[in-house]
Amino acid sequence: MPRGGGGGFGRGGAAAKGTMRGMQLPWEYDPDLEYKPTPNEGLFPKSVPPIVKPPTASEKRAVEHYRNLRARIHEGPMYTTLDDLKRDDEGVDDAKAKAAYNPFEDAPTYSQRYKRPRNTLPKLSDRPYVKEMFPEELWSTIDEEYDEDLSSAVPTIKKKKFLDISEPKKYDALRRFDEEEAKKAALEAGKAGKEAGGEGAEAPEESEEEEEEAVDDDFEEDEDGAGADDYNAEQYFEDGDEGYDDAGAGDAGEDDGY
Amino acid sequence: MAQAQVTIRNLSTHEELNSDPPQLQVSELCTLLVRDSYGELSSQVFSTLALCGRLTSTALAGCSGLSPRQVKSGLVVLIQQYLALYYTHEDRPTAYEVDWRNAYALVRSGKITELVEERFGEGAGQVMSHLFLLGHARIGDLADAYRLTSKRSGVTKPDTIESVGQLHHVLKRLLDSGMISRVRKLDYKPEADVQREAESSIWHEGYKDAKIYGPKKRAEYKVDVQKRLKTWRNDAERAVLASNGVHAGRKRKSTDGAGPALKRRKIQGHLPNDVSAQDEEDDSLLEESTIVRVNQEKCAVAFRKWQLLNVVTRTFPPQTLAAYSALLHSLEDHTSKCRDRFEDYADDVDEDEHQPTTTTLEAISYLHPSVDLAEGLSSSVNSSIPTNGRLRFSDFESEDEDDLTNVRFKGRGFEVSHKSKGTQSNDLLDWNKQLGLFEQHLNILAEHSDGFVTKLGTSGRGEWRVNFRQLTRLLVQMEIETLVSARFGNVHRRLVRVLHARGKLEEKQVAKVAMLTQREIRSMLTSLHNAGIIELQEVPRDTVRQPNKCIYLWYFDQERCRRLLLFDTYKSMTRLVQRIKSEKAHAQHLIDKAERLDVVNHEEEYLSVQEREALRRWRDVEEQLLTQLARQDDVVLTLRDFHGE
Repeated sequence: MPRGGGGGFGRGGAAAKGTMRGMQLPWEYDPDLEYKPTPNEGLFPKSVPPIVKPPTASEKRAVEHYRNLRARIHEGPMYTTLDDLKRDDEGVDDAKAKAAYNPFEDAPTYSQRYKRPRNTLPKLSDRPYVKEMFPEELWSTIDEEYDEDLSSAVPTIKKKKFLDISEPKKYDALRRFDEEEAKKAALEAGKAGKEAGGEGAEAPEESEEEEEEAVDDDFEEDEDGAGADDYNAEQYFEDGDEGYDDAGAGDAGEDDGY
Repeated sequence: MAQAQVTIRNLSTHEELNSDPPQLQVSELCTLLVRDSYGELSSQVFSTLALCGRLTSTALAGCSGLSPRQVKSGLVVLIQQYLALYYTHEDRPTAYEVDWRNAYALVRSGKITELVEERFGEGAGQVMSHLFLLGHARIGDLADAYRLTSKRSGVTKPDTIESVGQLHHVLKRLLDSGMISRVRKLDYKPEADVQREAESSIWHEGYKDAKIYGPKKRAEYKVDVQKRLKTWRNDAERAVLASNGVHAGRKRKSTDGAGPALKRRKIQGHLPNDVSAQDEEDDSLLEESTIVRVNQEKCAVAFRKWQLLNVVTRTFPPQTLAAYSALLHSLEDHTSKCRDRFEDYADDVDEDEHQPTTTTLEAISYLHPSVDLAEGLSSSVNSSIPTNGRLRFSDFESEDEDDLTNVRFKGRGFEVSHKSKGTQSNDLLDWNKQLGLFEQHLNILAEHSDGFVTKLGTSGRGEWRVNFRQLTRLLVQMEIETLVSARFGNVHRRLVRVLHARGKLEEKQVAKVAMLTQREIRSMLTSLHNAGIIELQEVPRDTVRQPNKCIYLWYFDQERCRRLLLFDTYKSMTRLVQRIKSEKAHAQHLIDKAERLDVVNHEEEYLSVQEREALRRWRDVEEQLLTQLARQDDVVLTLRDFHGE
């Protein structure tokens, strides 16, 4: 907001005003101009935001229970993730499936087999239900063997289904990253260290070693086709003979070569 | 959309459906919670139902854009978890509705599990979390599932459930306390349909299908309908809340441990479920076919007790707190919900007079054995009483080490175990002294201006009643004042208190009472008015209604302010959930990596130190946000559940 007076285009002032590095400007340019907001005009006065109290022990336990429950539901049959393209589940013929194919995401990759499998439809056949609590039109959904015509017939012997109330410990890996878990792990590592002879100094030593390794990895030159030597031009041509034996490295080489 | 609306009109046979539709803020919050827990399909079905109202499954498929198979699976999940209700009327297709209260209650699952774990032990906490996971479960199926896990693990831990008898024991204790209840098919009927059925049955019986003319007859009709609804509700509760569906007089095991509950065994409702009962295995075991689920209303009562204790702890010593806690615990056995919708009281005072009462003898049985009641009283009282036993309230902390008047109650961990009288000490004199001290603590509470207890009579060494209605208003007022002082400042809070105490005042009078000048408070009153906390009323002096000749009165309406705050709290909870989601998105690539099946138990191999540090930070942030969510839920408890909405 210029304070130094009005002024229009017609004012051809001196070289200092109205020019910037010698070029003529249509507005007045005063290099000595400073903008000093008065306290009234300070739009954002300094304020200290209020900080909440840290969680108490019982609140922490409650949050842990909630997260546990959520993890168990996510592992159970009821959790679903919808895929936008696969909205219509019934009658997806081959042509549609081919059209819906996304070359970036649907092509099979190595790490796909390690991905957590997610359902698009909840698997309802895994647990016993109390059929009477559901409306009749849903009985065929919860019990696949249920047939409306045969409802009055003698019920067949069905396989006994069990409720799944297992703990999520094997799946809820993220719990390991809670602070307390870390402390426990450190304690255990310390105990193990004591037994081995060190006095809990093994745990920080191990982490130091890992850090050194992590740091060193960037600078290590390994010969075994890891990421480093794709871009290492000197080594690239030296190992050209070996490239033909290893198809993987060869492919990588082909990609780099235009 | 038009198709759905036509369907809705066809379903309603009366002019207005008195259903319980969710407001926009709460439906957004519920959709986010359902999506967080149960995934995208269930949340889509839920959000369509919440926005479009009542729908059949075909209309639902049309509105939401999902296939019929997806819709049906989604509905099964929602119905199993009590997030949706349904109604089948004769030959018409089934109509589905959302139950947003249960969807909101997803936030409370962690708190309830923790409360139960503290009161009843780890095994009960586990059972509770299983019930949250499963929605509802048949006891027989639950027992089978447990036997399955114990076969697999083979590790015996204390306080976990290892035999069917133990499981039934835990379930019985939970049923007795009201934390879980039985399930009937009628639980799935929406409120509007129950109302409609009551109306039509009264119409057929009482009025012989004739038309109802005149205000008097209409009022009578309404009263009759309410009575009928109340009877139905009471019958339902009697069938659902009794712990044992077997006949009275069966021998119970001596290790039951549910002492006070035995006193309360007046109702032996053995109305069976709609399911055929199987043969019982043992005398004191529950029926295998009983279906149980979590009872949210009773949990709200437990939380109300905790909130009252929080208030009391600011001004009273821990021993008085212990006495009050015991009193509230004994009253809890008589209350199944915070507030009864069907009871018609003249006003607050009338309602408070109908609250349940308890005696000192009953209440003292809930007292924690290691509490030394003599310590909190003045020395002239307890000079001759030996002090034995130390305080075990490690949850207490005080900001100033020397200032013991400012002790703060840190957590919920305050529950007492049931004990029968006489095991405290064999000396009758000592027991008498205990009773006397207990009474004195309660007297101190009664004399406080806020009226935490009221003394009624002397039967049973003192009969006591807690005026919950009045205390609820106190809690709401404290919440509103905290908000005003946090948002605006202390002076604004004083003005609100002035208006709350004095009613409708002019600006001049407000200035006089608050001891400030009119000019100072004018801007404060307008800013409070903008926020909706206080309101303005114009009283014209003459018929022309000129603004100079009007009297402007400021007033504070607690009810309106409460509702405003409630919606604001819903909105802030929605923002918190969205924030959790966005924070998770920042760390999503790391989470995906950590959840990979080959990384799961080998984090040290596959994840670097920085990655683990980042994941730890994310877990920390999530914990803080979830704690805030839980605290907001406390506010909602005060503003909504204690009020009985």
